[in-house]
Formats: sequence, structure tokens, C-alpha cells
Amino acid sequence: MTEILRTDNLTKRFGGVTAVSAVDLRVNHKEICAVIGPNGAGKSTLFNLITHFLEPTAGRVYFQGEDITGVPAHTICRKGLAKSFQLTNIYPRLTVFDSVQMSLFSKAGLDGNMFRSSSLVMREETERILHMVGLASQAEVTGELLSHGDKKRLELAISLGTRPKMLLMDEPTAGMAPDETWALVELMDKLRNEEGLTVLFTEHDMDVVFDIAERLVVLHQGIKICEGSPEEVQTDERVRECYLGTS
Amino acid sequence: MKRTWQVASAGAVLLIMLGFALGEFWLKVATEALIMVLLAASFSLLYGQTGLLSFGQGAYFALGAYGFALSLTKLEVPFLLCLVIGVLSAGLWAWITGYLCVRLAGIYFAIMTVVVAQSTFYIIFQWYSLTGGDNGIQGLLPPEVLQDPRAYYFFVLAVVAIAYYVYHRLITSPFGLSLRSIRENSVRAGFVGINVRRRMLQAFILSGVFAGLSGVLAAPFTRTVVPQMADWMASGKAVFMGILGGPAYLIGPLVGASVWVFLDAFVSGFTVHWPLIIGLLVFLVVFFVPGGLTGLLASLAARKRAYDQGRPST
Amino acid sequence: MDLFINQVFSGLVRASLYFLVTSGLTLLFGVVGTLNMAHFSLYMIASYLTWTFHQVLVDYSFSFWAAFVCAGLAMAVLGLIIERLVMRHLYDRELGEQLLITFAMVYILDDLTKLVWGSNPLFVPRPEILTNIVSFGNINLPAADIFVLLVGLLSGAATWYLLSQTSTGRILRAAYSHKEMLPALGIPIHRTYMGIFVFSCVLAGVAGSAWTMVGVVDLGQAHSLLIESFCVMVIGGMGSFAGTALSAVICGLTYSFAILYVPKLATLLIFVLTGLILVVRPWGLMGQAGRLH
Repeated sequence: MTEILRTDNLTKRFGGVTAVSAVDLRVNHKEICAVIGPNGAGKSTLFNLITHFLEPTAGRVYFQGEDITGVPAHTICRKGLAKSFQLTNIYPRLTVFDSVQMSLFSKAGLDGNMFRSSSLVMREETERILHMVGLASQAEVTGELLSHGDKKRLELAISLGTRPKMLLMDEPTAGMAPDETWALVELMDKLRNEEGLTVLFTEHDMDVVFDIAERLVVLHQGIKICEGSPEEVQTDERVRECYLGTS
Repeated sequence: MKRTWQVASAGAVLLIMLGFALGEFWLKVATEALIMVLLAASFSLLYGQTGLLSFGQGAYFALGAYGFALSLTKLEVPFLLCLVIGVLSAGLWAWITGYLCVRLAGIYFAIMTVVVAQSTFYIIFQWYSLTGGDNGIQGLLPPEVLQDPRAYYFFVLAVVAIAYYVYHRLITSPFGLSLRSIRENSVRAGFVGINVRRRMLQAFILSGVFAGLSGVLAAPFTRTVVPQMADWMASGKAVFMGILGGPAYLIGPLVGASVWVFLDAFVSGFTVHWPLIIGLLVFLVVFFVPGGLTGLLASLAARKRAYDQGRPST
Repeated sequence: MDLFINQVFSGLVRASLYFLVTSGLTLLFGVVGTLNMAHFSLYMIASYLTWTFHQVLVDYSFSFWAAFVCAGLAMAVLGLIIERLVMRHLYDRELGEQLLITFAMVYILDDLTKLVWGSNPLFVPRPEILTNIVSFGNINLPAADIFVLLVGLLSGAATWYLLSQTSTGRILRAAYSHKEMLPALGIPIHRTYMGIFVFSCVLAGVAGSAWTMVGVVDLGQAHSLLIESFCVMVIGGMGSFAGTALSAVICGLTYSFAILYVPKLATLLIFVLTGLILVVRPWGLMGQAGRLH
């Protein structure tokens, strides 16, 4: 088991509030790992620190052994660490096809190419990803016209287009209908098995978490209080305390 | 794809025929329209594709024109070299100023372009020894073969056709898609690995080059350059033509510039209140048809298609 | 020394004009978030209105003062009309469209002005009291300049009082910082916006009337101030009222001293200053860093 992502002592303070406090996180290659915790535990902040959407107050982030702390978002993405957003973050007036193709161009270093015609490059690759997430029939639909669940899928497809080695997903099933949720869970599993993707995600829905995650990390008030297999976490005293309160 | 080519060839044939058919007055109007297409394209590349609202395209238009005029009168190099120097100076100025502009977002970007354009105007206006100040530079004759209006029309047509083909290639290239992604969601674009600032700067420089080419063609056409080419009314013209045509569409600049120039020539025949008319027109377009005239045509065509197929339009 | 004082004085007069023209613009932007490019056209129309009211009342000794007040009132009415017809439909639109619409309004209003008043420059004669020269030792100050300075100070003080000392001001400051909360507190946001737009028009009116005492009323007057006024706004911090006052003084003094030593570069200097501010500190001297619209 090789390690793909590691954070050392990662800390973020907003004014007097410590949102993330000295978190040491390890994620192994081809692992599906979930970060859970009550609201305001610092899950989103942690993700934003890893992808450098926020500047950490202290600590380092290593991806594949390389220090990526303070590296710009677009460089992090090029290294193979992609993030999908909690709120659907798509290109409202681009077609589904274009949106995904864009990511592929970017990954292939073609995003600055002025001399080729984009309708002739990387078509099959784009279509393959659209098939994978189940958007192939809506390739020519504009992003903003999709249903909520499809927008989430497009969001995921945009991230997949960058051919990531690892994907960070912030609340991927938020606002999804149950059948959409389970389709996504299946997809995550498929991506890991077929594409060798490592997934780190946050989730509210504990059914999803315990169904798919192989390892859990529990945050509470910015502090990592527990990590381990689902069984270990379920029986952990501190976790019960933070979710159920002290008796 | 095939349809684009059909339309383009039909348009080319039409424009060539116009070159033979039009009388001198309307021929000059048509020449001006062609030149202005490039200025509209320079605005559209920034706003329609990249989502950057520039109120300063006049600066690069003037730089092109002055670059041409100065190399013709001071350096006395051949005509074609003058054209190249003019375009390059506009591109260079766009590079320098764009480096500052693309650091800013939204309204600050827009204001910065205004400030840059107005500074350019003042520099040209005050640098009397070089630019002749408010007198401008006169007597910019093209070589003898191009002095005939009809010959100049065809020369401009050729240059604009090539430039437009380049514009088409640009916006259909992966680079063009990057620009649209930035327009739609620059944060997301950054997260899929696009170097947003760099692409913006590239778009800015290219747009400066288009504006410069427009200026370079305008100078020998009017035989004179004046500082007013850089002022905010000139920049406003770029904005209005772009908006009128529909800045996100390939043929938007062509439509916008043609409508502006021909309407201007037509209306000037009986009223001096052109600004009122164009102001109202743009006002209505922005309020009611955000896609510009091209967008309007496209949605009408879509409606007709839906009607022909017997379904209600959406 | 006398020269120095003279330059400071003329710089302050210029600052007063900058401030008068910019304060309405900055206030609207600060509260509503809309940059009204046509603000300068409104200022120009106010000058023309002052001229017209003055013509009507020319037989009376108080004609200018009456014209000053009437122009202000007329601007309020005009502001009300424009708000109803245009601005109201703009607030929720995206930034680009707001700029484009108000930019189109520049063309429309300027040309309407030309249609109504023609293109010849007009003069508003100064009332008796403003034709004097006030002397302090060796320093001679035209009364009209002092008048402009006073108007600037008064209008600034009145606006400041309105913003910081009244309950209306509290609402406006709330609209600035917590836009989404106003409806929840039962404050009709549209009426607040309407009020602020009308007020910005009145400020433009005061600026336009004051201008007639020191300059010619013509179609170019808006354009000559437009860009510099943008600069004043950016340097001070967009939407910051105090910042605008500060930067008006900075720009006014910069201009009046630059014109002495490097006359050709005086205006350019202000642009360069603005460029620097935009690159180093885009939110301006006194704006808030987080509020990048």
C-alpha cells in the first residue's frame, strides 16, 4: 500500500477560530476514504487547504511524495489531484461535451493551442467519460439546463477529464435523489476498480459512507479524533461522544 | 462545419460583387465597415469569448494607426512593412498594458482599460514632437496601386478575410474553448488546470493585434491619423459594434460593424442625431436581446425549425 | 510662498469639483453596487438646467441662487424618472450589462442635451457677490472659486451627516454591508435604492450648478471630467465616501502642482497614480479589500 496524499500538521485559523487544527491525514493509493464529522467540523476547509483554495496557517501537504503546499490550483490539478465541488460548479453556458473536452485539453497541455480545431481533437476520450458518468445522450445540452443530479454528474465528469490520480469530492451526493445517490456510489467504485482512482470524500449520508468507504477519518471541531475502518469507527468511544454528546 | 464554409463562400462572393457594383460613396462605406469588423472582433474576443469587458480597445486601434503613420513618415519603410510595424506596436502595447489589466477582476478590469486608453490618448495628444499632437499626421498615402478606392476595397477585403479566418480558427481551437471556460467560470477553469491569467493575457494581446490591424488599415484609408482614434468614444464604438452584433457569435463582429457603419452612413444623410439612435439601439439590444442581432437571428431560426417540425418552440 | 498658497487653493477648488462630481457616483456604487457611467451626463444636464432656470428668472437679483435650487429639484425629478424607467431593472443584472446600459445612456443623454440646448457653449453670468476678488495680503482669491470650495465642503458635510448621523444612513450602511438582510428586516430595498439613486442625481445637480460659476456650460464638460473622476473613485476606494473625499484632495493638489512644473503630464500623472493603485491595492486607499464586485 503506497501513500498518495499526506498532510502534516495542517492548520487553518480564521481570526480566533481554528477551523482545522493540526490534522495529519494519510490516504493510500486506490483507496476510497471518507472524511466525516458533524457540521462545522472543518471538512470543507480541510479540502480547500489541500487544493490550495485557502492558504494554510501552518502545515504541509504532500501529493505523491511531493510538497504541494502553496502551489497554484491549476498546477495542483496538472499533478493529478482534482477536486469536485460541493455546490455544483460547472460552466453554465457551455455544452456538456465542451465542458468535459476542456478538461481533457487541459490535461493534454492543449488548452493554449490555437492552431488545431477543437472539434477534431480528443472526441473519443470525451465520449468515453460521458458514457462512464451516463451523460452521453446529453452531450450537446447546455450545462445550466441539466437537472440537479445531472449537473452533479457533469461536475464529476469535468473533474475526471483532467485524468486525476486522486479525486477529492466534497459532499458528492448532496441534494441527490436516492437512486441517483446509489448510481454515484456505484460509479465511484467502478472508477476505483477500472481507472485506478483514489477517492477522498466528505459525506453526510452515513449509509453511503459505510457502504463504500474503506477507511474513515473523523473530524470534530477541526481536530482529527479518530480514523480507521468503518467497524473501528463505529465502535469508537470518542466518535459516539461527538455525535451523540456525552452522557 | 460544412455550413460555415457555405456561408463564408457565399459571403465572399457577395463582397467581391459589391466591390464591383457599388458607387464610390457606398464603396467607401463598405471599406470602412470591413475595417471596423476587425475592431468589433477585437472587442468580441475579449468580451464574447473571455468575458472581459474592455472599454479601451481604442488605444490599440490608435497604436496600430500611429505605428503605421510614423513608420511611413519618419522611417519611410515600404508600405507592407509599415502595416506590420503598426500591428506589432499595437500588440506590444497590449502586452504591456494587458499584463496590468488581467490582474484585476470585473469592474476593476473595465476601469483599468478605460484608464489605459485615456492615458494612451494623452500621450499621443501631448507628445507633439513625435505625433503632431492634435494636428495628427496627414498625407498617409498607400502605394499607387491602392490609391484607387476600389483597389483599396479589395485589398482591405483580402486582409480582413484572412484575419477573419484566423479569428474563426482561434475561437474554434482548444484555446478558444479555454477562453469560454474562463468566461463561464474562471474558478473552475483554474481547477481543471487552465492557467487563467496567462490565457487572459494571450486573449488581450490577440485582441490588441486585431484592433491594431483595424487601425493600420484605417490610417491609409482616411489618409490621416488623429489622437481621437484613442479616446473613449473610439473605444465605445468597439463596444457598441461588438454588442450589437452579438459578441459570442462567430459572425457577430461582421454583423455589428456592418450595421453600425451602414446605419451611420444612411442616417447621417438626414439627421445629426446618430448618437441618440445608436444609443437607443444598443440600449434595447442589451435589455431585450442579450445575444445581439446574431443571437436574435439564431433564435428566430431555431423557432422556425421547431415550427417546421411541428413542435412548439421552447 | 504666495505661489504655494495659490496652488494649494486652486488644487482644493479642483478637489472640490472632483468630489462633487464623484460623490454621487461613489455613493451609488457603494450602496447599490452599480457603476453609473451616465453620472457625468447627468452632471452636464444639471449645468444646462441651471442655465435655463437662470434665463427664466433673469430679471430677478436672486436668479442664480433660485436656479441653483431649481436645478437640484429638477435633477431629483429626472433621477426619479430614470430610476423608474431604467435603473430599477438593472440592479439584478450582471455587471457587464449594467455597464453597457449606462454606457448607452451616455450616448442618449448627451445627444438629447444637444437636441434641447444646441451645441454652442453657454454662460451663466455670476451674481454680483461672486464676481469679487477676495484678498488676503498678497493673495487674491476669486469669490467664485471660494464658492465652489464651500459648496463642496457643505455637500460633503451634509452627505456625511446623512450617512453617519441619521437613521436613513444606518439603513444605507446596512444596505452596503448586508444587502440580503434588508428585506428580512422589513426594509423595502427597492425604495432604498430609488432614494439613493435620486440622491446621487441631486449631488450631480449640485456639482453641475457649481460648475457654471467657474466654467462654460458645454457638451464636452462631462467628458473632460469623466476619466479623472473615475480615477478619483478608484484611488479613494470604490464605494468609500471618505476615501473619495481624501482622493479628491490628493488628485486636486497633484493636478494643481503638476500643472505648474510639468503641465503636459498633469492629467497623465493622475492616470499613472490610478494604475499604480489598481495594481497594488485595487480596493483603493479606504475601500474594503473583500468587496471586489
